[in-house]
Amino acid sequence: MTSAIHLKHPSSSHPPLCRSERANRLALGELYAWTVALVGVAFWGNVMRNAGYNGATSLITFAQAVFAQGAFIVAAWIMVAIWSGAVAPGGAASRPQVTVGLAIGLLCIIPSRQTTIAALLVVGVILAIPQGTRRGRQVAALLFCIAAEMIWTSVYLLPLHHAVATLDARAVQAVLSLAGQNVSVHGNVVINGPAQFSIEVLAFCTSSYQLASVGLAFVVTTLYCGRLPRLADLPWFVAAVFTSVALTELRLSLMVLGEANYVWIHDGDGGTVYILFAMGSAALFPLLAAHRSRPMLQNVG
Amino acid sequence: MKLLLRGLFVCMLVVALMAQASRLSSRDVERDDKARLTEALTRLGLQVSAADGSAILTVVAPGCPEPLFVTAAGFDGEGDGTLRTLLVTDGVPRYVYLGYVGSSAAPVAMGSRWAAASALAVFGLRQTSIPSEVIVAILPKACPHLTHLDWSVLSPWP
Repeated sequence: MTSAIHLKHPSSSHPPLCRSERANRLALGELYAWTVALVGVAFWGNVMRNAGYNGATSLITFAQAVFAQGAFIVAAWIMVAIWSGAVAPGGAASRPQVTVGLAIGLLCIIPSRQTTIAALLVVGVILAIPQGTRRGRQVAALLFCIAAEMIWTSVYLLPLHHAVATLDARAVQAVLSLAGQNVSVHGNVVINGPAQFSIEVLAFCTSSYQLASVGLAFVVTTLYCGRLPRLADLPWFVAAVFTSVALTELRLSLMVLGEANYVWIHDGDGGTVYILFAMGSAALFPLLAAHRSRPMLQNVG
Repeated sequence: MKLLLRGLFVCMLVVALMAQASRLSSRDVERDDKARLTEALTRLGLQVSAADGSAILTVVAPGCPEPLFVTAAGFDGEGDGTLRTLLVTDGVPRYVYLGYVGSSAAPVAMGSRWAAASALAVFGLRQTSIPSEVIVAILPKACPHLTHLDWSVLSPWP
């Protein structure tokens, strides 16, 4: 403020006033950083609330809740945090931009899943606008994927996953029939008659439930490779989706074989093996897509 | 102006953290659904005769020679198998969800109740835990008077 008065031009009072005003205004980058921080608090607050640790909250339960979200969600938020300082072009934030930022902040104060999803989408749209920076578009892609994952795994879409459960049960029957096993299916229940064992495929176990995570993993890995996902990556994404579905059907088929198998895969080390395979395949296809696109870029360059 | 905005955003971050923490501490402690159902059935003048390890409650009604069965079917598909086995019996089903009572699962009626309860919960106007399961009672055909009971107590409007 003082320096602006000293720099006062003798012929006009406007330039120093403008400079003073500009110095007093919040930078657009800082405004976006605050907004992203608020959305982050709302997201992880939701994670904690939905963690379901019977009221006992500690650092350990928080860590468990964070890890339960999955490696790619954590990676996505780390990338958002690192890049949030460079999401906006230089310059001061305008009054409408500040108003929108404050409105998003108010949205984040309401502790509910719906408002968090809305805040993620609004911030994503703002950062994705053409005037934004490359980092802004990358953060927007991550926020959209996080919001999509929240919607896809929410209670709103449980009926959809429930419908897919009956298809998964049929697929398991087909897989096991090929292997010479005699299983029958009633809705989402797969019955292994000879083993006198049956499983009920719930929404959280279906092949569709994991697909938003596969999409998030694809975007996170592609951005980690230094570029935004593009249309040419679609075949690789489809391959990642098919692999995820195949892994789920294989997991369900192995579980139906008997109680020992079920316990090992559902509650034991088999679950860890499955997660490692799922994570590996989710990261492999975007890496292959990035690797394939590199020589083309060199040729063009 | 800049300082004021920074202060505002810091306040918002603190308030957001406090709001999340307050919702966390006031989170409904996971209730024993079976105990809650048993209590509601008792209020209807019915008596639970068997609540074994299965997901089915066997209930005795005064003046009714046959038992009735009560179970829960989750949105995620949990309990579907149990429900399917109950539906093949010769009984009259009563689907109950957030005050809705009907002879079939009406997705629009139940979905709108779920949406309304969720919207009210967002603003703290109703309880935060919206049930994600439909209660189904299978009433014996021999006891038509049971259909007149207020089954909505099994899953009342919050």
